[in-house]
Amino acid sequence: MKARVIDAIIIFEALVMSYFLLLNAIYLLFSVVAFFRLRTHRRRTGPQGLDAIVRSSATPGISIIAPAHNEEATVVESVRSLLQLNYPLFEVVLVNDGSKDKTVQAAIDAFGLIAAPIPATLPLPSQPIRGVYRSPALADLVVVDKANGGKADALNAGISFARYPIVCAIDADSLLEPHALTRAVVPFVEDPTTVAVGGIIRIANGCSIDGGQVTSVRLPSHPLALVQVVEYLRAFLPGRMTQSAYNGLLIISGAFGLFQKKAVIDAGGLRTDTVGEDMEIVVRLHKIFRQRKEPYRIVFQPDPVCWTEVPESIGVLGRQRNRWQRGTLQILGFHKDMIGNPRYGGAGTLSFPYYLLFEALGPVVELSGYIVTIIAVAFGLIDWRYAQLMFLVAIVFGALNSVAAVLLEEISFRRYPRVRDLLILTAVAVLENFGYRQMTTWWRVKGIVDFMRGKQTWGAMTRKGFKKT
Amino acid sequence: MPLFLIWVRDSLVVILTIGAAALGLLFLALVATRLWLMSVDARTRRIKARYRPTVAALGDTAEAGAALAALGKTPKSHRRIVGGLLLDAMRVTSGDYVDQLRTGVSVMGLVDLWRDQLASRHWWERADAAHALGLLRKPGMSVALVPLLDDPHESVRAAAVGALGLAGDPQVIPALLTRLSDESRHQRIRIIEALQQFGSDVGPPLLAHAAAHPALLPLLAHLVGELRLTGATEQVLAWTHDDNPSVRASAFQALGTIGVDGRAFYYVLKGLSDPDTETRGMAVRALGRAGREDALPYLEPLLHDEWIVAAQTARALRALGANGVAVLERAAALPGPAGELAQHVLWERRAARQADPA
Repeated sequence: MKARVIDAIIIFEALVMSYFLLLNAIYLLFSVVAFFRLRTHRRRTGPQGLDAIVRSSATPGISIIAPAHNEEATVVESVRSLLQLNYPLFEVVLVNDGSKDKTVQAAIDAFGLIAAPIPATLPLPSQPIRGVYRSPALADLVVVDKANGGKADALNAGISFARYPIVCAIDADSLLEPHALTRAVVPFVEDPTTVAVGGIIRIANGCSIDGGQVTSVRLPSHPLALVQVVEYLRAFLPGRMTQSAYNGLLIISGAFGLFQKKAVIDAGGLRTDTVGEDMEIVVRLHKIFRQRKEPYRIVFQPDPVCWTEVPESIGVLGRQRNRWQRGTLQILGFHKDMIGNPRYGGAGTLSFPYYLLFEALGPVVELSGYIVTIIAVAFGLIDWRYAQLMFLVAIVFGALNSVAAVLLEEISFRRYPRVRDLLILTAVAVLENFGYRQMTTWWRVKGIVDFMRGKQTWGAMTRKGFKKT
Repeated sequence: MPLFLIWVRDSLVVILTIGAAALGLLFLALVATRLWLMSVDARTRRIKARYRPTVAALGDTAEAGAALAALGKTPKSHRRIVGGLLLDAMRVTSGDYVDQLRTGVSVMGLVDLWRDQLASRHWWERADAAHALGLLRKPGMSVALVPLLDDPHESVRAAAVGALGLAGDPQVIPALLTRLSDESRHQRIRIIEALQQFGSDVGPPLLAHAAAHPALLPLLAHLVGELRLTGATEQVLAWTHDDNPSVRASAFQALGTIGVDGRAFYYVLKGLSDPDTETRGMAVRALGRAGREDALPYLEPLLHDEWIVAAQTARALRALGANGVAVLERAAALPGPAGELAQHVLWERRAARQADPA
């Protein structure tokens, strides 16, 4: 009996290890593809190209949709910072999503807004619109006041009021770099079949902020935020660059994404019954365009930068990861017919199976691997040296992928200029495997359990606020 | 147990060794990359700091000769960076200084270098060379640049179009017009922007091109407006009764931009009853821009037309002063889309006046 149990455990451990090696091999492949893509990308988008886009009459106008909920303290500064972006034709549509504080009044007072007529019909449904305010002096600012309905609902309302063909969805606390829109619009300009573009999200914790702009890039001092720097680099540079290469990108971050307005309206807007509305709309666009057999592209642009604040508290981070996991599972469930389906191109045959096998099931496999190993070692069913060896392999390959992501950052954008930062990032790439990685696995497993229980809440997301110079 | 799993179990030490070696190599690559990039940056800064005064001295008549002599002795390994300095200066200056900068480029042998690079197998080198040659603003460069209009890489074609616009040789206008059918929309826009640099010189070749390529008429009619070719008004009026509605719409759009004179006014009035919605919309737009109050009775009923026509009509009425606003105020009292549209345009007018009472 004992021999059978030992055999079963060894088979299980070998399966987990194979799964893990396959996952890391895929990550490394992503890094190789991203390396070549980044090299080409850097050559294509020099300052001359950007200048041509700014000057060109063909550059499409962009409506920035900024949903705000109880942002009275920061709304004026956020809008001011958005209005200062360097782009030839854009407007800011601030959507007050039923705030209980004086978010709307703060905007009215600061920008001298006056009430404007509300159209009888709007292209997308949303919670009732309570008022629309425009600025006689700033034609590029619209404030939409609506009843609370969540972020997706606020974005739908904002899209209804957008006057330009491209809409840019951001978070209220997103900080866009001055040229972010110019860089992000490039795929729309180059190829009219582009329906959505996502930019890279970078971590503002530790950076100096002045006038809504990051003035000095520094690594965060808080260890939790520091680990997330490496995590974000790993997620964005190798992963999204590669998925974008085969038109299989499934996520455009809600913090910064551009969409062809017509495509979103034709798709019926963002779904309000999910916690992963940013991923859902992208997946739905894939589905719709493939079903219609129309050419389309969904692109990741690695250089339009959006800075955001990440959680520095374990509780908040745990809730965020729980929500992300539930969002992924919801979307996989909504669109399960796309999984492995060649009708949906690279999104169906490559990205969906990847998300199912590694993003959705990954935490379960990893956690069960830890548990079975600990029990087996404790009961003397496997040699502790074998378990130690497996753990070392996991650390080395985990670190390998993180260092590869840091290297990609180094050869492409080099946003962390100090040598010290580079060494810290490399050290973090190794150290994150001791504790942090296990914590995220646990939060994600909890997310799976909550998903099974039908939990739909976002969870409170308290923010510390940006450090100002 | 399957063989693969046995292999995985038995090979963990080998896998760990390979992983650790790869990790070490990546770390070394990371450090080496940083060191290499730092040294490249430092070298570039050093060379720029050394040559910046020389480039600036080209603008000083007394020192220009010595500066040119110094540039002539620039080592080959510095040419690219110094060439960049000269081009940066050319982008932001004009007059005699540009002539001196051009001479500086010549004495350094950069023109030949860039010409050679036009045939490089790397697209980015071809694009950079085309851009650099364009900045010289010498019509003589166009012969070398025209073949790049058919380059397989769009960035090179884009650079060639921009360079030809800067070079300013009217001989290339037919070549640019021919490439208006390029599959990339943005490239077509770039061509239009390059053609704008030639002003009224574009008129005759454009009309000849239109006669030879009727399929391109909608685009070319639109282009007449974009380039404000007032000399082509006669031809545009002829296009307002073309069989193709896209041509008629583009013709009215062009009239709206180049201006509606006494004769064109009656063509535009006729366009208001065109069966094509877009054509009617463009005719209304042209009428609004003409600023003639005697157009009011023709415009008022069009507030109830298709949305695109109604929107243009509301805008045109707003532009026609107090009488136009009176029409909008009457319409604002009506139920339905026309009333809503009129209300919105009146609100826009009030808001604009509030922002700028003058």
